[in-house]
Amino acid sequence: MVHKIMKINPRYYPVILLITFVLFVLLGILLGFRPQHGNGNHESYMLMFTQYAINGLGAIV
Amino acid sequence: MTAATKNNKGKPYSLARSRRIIQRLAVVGAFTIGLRHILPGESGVGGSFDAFCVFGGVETFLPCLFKGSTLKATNLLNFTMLLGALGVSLVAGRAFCGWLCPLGAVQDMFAGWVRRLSGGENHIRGKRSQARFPLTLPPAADKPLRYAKYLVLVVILIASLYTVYPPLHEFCPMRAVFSLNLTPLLWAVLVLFIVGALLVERFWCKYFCPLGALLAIFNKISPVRIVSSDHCNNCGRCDIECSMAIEDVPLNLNNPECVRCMECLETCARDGSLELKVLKP
Repeated sequence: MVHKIMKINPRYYPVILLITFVLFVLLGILLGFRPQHGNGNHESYMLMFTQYAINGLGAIV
Repeated sequence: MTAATKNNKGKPYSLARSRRIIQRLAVVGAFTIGLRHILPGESGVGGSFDAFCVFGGVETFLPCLFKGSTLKATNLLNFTMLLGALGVSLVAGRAFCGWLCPLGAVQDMFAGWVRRLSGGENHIRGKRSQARFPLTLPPAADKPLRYAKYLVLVVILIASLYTVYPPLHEFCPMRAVFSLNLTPLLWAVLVLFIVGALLVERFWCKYFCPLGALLAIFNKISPVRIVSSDHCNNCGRCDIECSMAIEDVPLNLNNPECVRCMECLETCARDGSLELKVLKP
């Protein structure tokens, strides 16, 4: 496979990393993975949805 | 390549310096989280120290998926931290290990200190340090040991389905170094971690880090990567600088062991030999 490549200035590399990290952390918070009080056993609607989807796919297969 | 290009004020730009600053910030951040949870009245605020652990997200992922709840001492925030690390890896491979991981930063600091204390300076670009430590393990021991981290990852993933606490919880070097709330077992882990980091550069990352094992996969697919060209004359400067002791760096730029610290790019003296590029499929 042929890849076209674009050169980037190395000085932007740290900025790329930091911005990517912050954006994905924000995405996590928006998805509902927020800090919670208490000692474990936390539930997430996002994960419950994924779990139901996996169970549903399993049932179909 | 010439990462040491000059900025507007005429001061040379250094990727290595930027990395050191970011690493120190990561270490200070980790210590702050650890300190916050041992101060009176602060322990109940926000998530626990473990809630900020990137690997905690991996440990509690399967229980969350199959049992519907997180393991004890973990938190949904672990998934956010993990997502941050996976995002960086998706873009730039194992760069999280080389730039943002506080444990990697501590090991880099130890390697620098032990070099100075054992009769040498840090590598001066293109010239190997004469220091006796840190050591390089012989290939017969080094190569098989590199696979240990993958085994650790698999064991932890399987064990996470049968445990109440995260499997690595009581042996976690991250807790040992930064949590400031140590059990006797964590003291032992701390001592072993320090001794390992002083003897072998990035000892934990090379041989045992399960998060590194997971993120290593992304080195093969990430679009932002170093590319070598025909200009390279195999002078070996990049081999000297590599903290992960990768052999023939220009030929192994996407090696799963590479933590994308960019020291090879920084040290390269031939213009255009190594370049940072974005691959477009």
